[in-house]
Amino acid sequence: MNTTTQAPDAAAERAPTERAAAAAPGGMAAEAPRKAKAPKTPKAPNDREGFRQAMSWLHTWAGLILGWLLFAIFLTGTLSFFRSEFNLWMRPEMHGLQPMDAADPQVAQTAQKALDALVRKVPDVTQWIMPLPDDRDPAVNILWRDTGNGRFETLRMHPQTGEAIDTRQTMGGDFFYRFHFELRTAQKGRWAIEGRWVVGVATMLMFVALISGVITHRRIFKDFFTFRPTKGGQRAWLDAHNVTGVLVLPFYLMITFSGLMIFHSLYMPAGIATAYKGEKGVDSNAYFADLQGEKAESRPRRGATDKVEPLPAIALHSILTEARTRWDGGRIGSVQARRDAKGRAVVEVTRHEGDRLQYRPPRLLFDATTGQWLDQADATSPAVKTYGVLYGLHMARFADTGLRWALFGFGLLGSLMIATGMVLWSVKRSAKSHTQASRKGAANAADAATPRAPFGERLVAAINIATLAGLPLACGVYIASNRLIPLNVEGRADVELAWFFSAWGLALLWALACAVVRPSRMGWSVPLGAAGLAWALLPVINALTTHTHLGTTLPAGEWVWAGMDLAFLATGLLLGWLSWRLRPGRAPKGKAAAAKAPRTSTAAALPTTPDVSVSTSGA
Amino acid sequence: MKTARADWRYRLAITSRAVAAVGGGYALAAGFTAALSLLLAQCMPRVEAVITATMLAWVVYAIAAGWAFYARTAWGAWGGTLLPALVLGACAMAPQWMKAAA
Amino acid sequence: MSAFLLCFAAWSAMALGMDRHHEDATGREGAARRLQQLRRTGWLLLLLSLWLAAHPAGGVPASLGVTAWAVALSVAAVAVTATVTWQPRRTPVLAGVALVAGLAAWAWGW
Repeated sequence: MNTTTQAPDAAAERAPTERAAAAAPGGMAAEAPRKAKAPKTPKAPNDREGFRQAMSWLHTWAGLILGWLLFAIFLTGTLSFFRSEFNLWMRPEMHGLQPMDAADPQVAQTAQKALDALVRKVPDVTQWIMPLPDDRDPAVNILWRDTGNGRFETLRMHPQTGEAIDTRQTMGGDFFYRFHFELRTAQKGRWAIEGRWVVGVATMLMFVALISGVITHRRIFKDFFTFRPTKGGQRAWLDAHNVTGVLVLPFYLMITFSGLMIFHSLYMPAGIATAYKGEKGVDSNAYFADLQGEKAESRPRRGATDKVEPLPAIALHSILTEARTRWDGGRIGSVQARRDAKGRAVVEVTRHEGDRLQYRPPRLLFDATTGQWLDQADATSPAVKTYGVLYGLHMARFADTGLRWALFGFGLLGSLMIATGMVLWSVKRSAKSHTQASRKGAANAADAATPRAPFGERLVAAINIATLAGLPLACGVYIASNRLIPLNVEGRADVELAWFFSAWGLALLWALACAVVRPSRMGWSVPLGAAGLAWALLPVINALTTHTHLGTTLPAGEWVWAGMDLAFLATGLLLGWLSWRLRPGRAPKGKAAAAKAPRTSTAAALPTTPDVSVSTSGA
Repeated sequence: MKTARADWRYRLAITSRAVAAVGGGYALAAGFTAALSLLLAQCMPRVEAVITATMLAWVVYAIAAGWAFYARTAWGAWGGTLLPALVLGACAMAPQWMKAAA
Repeated sequence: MSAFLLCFAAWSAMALGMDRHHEDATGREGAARRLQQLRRTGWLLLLLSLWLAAHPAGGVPASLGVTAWAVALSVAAVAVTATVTWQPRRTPVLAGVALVAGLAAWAWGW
């Protein structure tokens, strides 16, 4: 193919010939990204072609710049769909608690007992937030603080007895969650805003990559269902990238756009700064209050040195009962108490987040001392409701088990889409340099046999391995560390994170070593194999270190626990299978290529439809 | 075959476009958000105006990024992003300036 | 569930309405007219599945029903892609089964 042998930085005078050559082979034009300098070329006769090429170029680079980070964000986000389940599994001390039905009136008594226990422990508490138990989380988790502006501490309590449950120190599923949107690296991380900025940039790039990808995909309808793993090489990778990209496109667009909107006040504050500008500067308090559908003084922002009076005694039972009546039996999600801007102690009852699509759920405000109902806070105007629905779709709190697994699957496909994109670039680039090298060094037989790829390519290939294989390994190691690290270690939660990052770092070292020594398939096989081992061994490690293993949870039908172990096992087997397929010594084929040689030859013998353009380097 | 002479010019052009897409595009989106928020706030509650404008801003940003790479030249990329950004920014700041002048 | 089954039938019809997949499934080229009919049927089935999803059984709000439909849409698309890739000849039969099962599922409130 002529296009792939052109250097990326062709001078302007070369452009017309490239343009004509590029336009000829139809489908390939959009698939060879970095060729004709679309910038300086004279307008091609078919301008749509020029637009598509520009978008193709944009798609490649928008995807590549932060592709690895995007993969990490997407994968940890996918795992976050099961954040509750991870939180539970990684605190085996919580086993034995019965999941509660959030619609159960018993919940009111549970809340009171927990509050009494909290006040016994911290008489000077100034603010507390109590998510109530439901079908996914059986404990009462109280967040509390006794300062004006400090961090919240967490207290986990048994719902029936109100006793505190001593669980091992861990971030649990919250690590995946917080890494996903703010690149959290420590339990009490201090770079939250910076992390969110980086995630924001990556999200915008993904948004651009999605849109430019759709524009550049010439045969988006014809190739809608097309997946040809047996073709091998670039074609198979491109098919995989297209299929994972297009079939789940609504989800990706929703997740990306809603992600941008969730942190819009950080990323795009120009509207707030303009419309809420007052005499004393920008009244952002008013904006956030309007966004939540509540009054600005109900939620004051305090400084670090502001003193707040401790809360008075509160009778929760009557408040919660009234709340349920007002909501017609709707589920209560959480209760909290604080002092508003006027110093009045208020109790806020929030509806369960799973009761509707729109996030946040409605809240009822009560006077803490008299128990009198004060107000309902809820955003009802159309644009804000749209924002709320977008937010809610992203968080997926509305999803039941079936939907949740489907969304998890979409997340995996998205991660796969990013991964196949990265690999495809690498494969194409190395194919190009192989052809170049073999042209140059055709005389030198030894050179042509083992062409040494340029440094940049080897580096990219190495980082591909480190991220695409290293991250699944790191996640498995993190979960394993939860069972293996002794319980009384100082800063245990951060030690678990250290295992995570060390595993990832080791994968990077391995990948770089492979890149320097000799790029080979072993580069992929080893980390994937290690990852498969780590995940598959999790149920075994679980059995050896706790009593919440499959032996007890399966017979008891405790699916929240057993499901996790089984899912870990399945993940391990899948990663192991991938590692096996990619082991050195097999004929290099695309990742999902047919295993059996005979089948491959018959597949090749099948009449291929005439409009398929074969990839440049074949296998 | 790389022609070393044209190499740096090409890379400069690409970098220029990338900055136009990222920086100029952001300026355009921000200017758009500010101006549209002010405009819509005339006929709907402030929060509605801001949220609507902010949601549309991302689409504007994406289009600006696309333009930066589709424009005939790198200068065109800047022109297409910065000029509208400045115009919209001026529109957004106009009420303030008029109030200060009055 | 009904949304998934009906979408599966719909996407299958669309896939079978494409040259490549029609050949893989039936072993011979489809007439242009037939292919167009299949594609149109696919679209109609999609619309039907959406309408049915917007009228869910029980106290489920329509917004949740439509969201579930949107999810089912993609899941079904993936399923059909898998079918035409690895079991192309069984696609027509599976599509028919899915159609019947989907309608039954909706009637029974799944």
